[in-house]
Amino acid sequence: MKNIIIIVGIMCGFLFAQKSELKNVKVLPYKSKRELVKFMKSVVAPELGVKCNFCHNTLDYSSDEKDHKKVARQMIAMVQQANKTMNDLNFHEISCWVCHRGNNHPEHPPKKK
Amino acid sequence: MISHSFKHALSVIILFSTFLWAVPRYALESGSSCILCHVNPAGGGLRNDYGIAYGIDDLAVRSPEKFSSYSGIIINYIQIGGDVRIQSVSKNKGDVPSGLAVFPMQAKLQVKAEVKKLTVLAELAALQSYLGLQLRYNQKNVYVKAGLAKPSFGLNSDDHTVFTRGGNIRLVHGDHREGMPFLPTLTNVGLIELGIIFGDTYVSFSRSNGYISGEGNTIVGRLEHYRSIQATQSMIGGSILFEGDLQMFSLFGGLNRGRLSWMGEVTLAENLVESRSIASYSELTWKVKRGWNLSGRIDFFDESMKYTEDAIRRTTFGLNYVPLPFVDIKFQIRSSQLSGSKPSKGMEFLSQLHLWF
Repeated sequence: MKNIIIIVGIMCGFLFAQKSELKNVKVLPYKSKRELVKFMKSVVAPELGVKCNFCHNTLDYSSDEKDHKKVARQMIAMVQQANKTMNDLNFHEISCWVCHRGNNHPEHPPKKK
Repeated sequence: MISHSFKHALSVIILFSTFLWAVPRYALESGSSCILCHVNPAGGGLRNDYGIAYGIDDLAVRSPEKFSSYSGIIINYIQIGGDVRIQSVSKNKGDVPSGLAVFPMQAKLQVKAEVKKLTVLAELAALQSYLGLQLRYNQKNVYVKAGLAKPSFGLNSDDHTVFTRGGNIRLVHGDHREGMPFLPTLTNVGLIELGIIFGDTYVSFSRSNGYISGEGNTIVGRLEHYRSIQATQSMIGGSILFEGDLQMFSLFGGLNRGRLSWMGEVTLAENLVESRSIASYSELTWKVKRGWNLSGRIDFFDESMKYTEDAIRRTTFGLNYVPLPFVDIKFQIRSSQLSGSKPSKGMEFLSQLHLWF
């Protein structure tokens, strides 16, 4: 029981003393990993219809090894820029959904014959 | 009043309960392998960034703001985590209570360090006094893991008492085996593992020192594939193990839609005892609401398919309550039925407090 008390004590210490440390986050404004993961889970993944491994090397989420991640980073920067521009025009905020509609590649209108 | 034999059985559980795996249902619901949430690709133990955020935002009834910046990081890229489980067990013989005990089951500290593409994971199991060490080299979707660890076979259920894992550590119902050989008494062995990720398919091969018998070598192969069709998540996988004369085969899978999840596994073992042994596991879980889960499970074990007198079937009902992040409370009621004319040994009531960070 002594070991349990020591480990629970260490746990409580860490739970209240921790600070988030983000690694290789370049365009997203989040300060904590929780906010970042929440954004990925609730916005990026469902709006593109993909799972984490579409962009990330799940063995190392911070790695830029996958090209999709590099593209996604530029896309997010584009959306941020668009929202910044449209903010002056009183538009609603846009996100990936506006173009992607749940697909990893946005659909295009059929070509006219 | 605790009977002598029950005390003895508990002391064995306390002494030998060691590693517990991840929760495969979470992997199924997330549509991805254990790697999604855990540092160890085989699952269990220290969580990665996604796993920590998942634990805070998706599992608990309430997520206080205090936890929002929690990451486990102590110094640059060095993460620490821990896992404590306290269990209580009571038994009835007929309508008469015959035992109750509360005991610590696991107290584990883990440390992870990352140096470029190398991940080092060390663990100290304080109650069982053993160490684990894994060095993993990651290269895109391939990893090589070496060190002191356990091979990953089959559906790594978090409950080591299901018959497809270790079953009953002590033979409480008779003279026959009561579960496959993955007892928590098995210790870490020298292991090298190659893992490959092809999209939603996860494959691993490992070679280690004798894991089950402690002699010779153990070769294990494992494959699992996840597929999402609209709102339905599915998973299917298989596993093989060779160690001397022992050969084991496992087929497992799961389906999830909305609040309902089903997971199942069938495991065959050749030469575990004479002839062929079979174990199966089937569990249905209903997520009542966030942090509240009800489950029903049937697991079965037949030591030798030649005979009909040595089979055992267990029915389990459980409640899983996660009031806060890092706190998990489980209750289970279970009853075993024996083949032939042997009487059942009554109901078992179990509860577990699981704290992790």
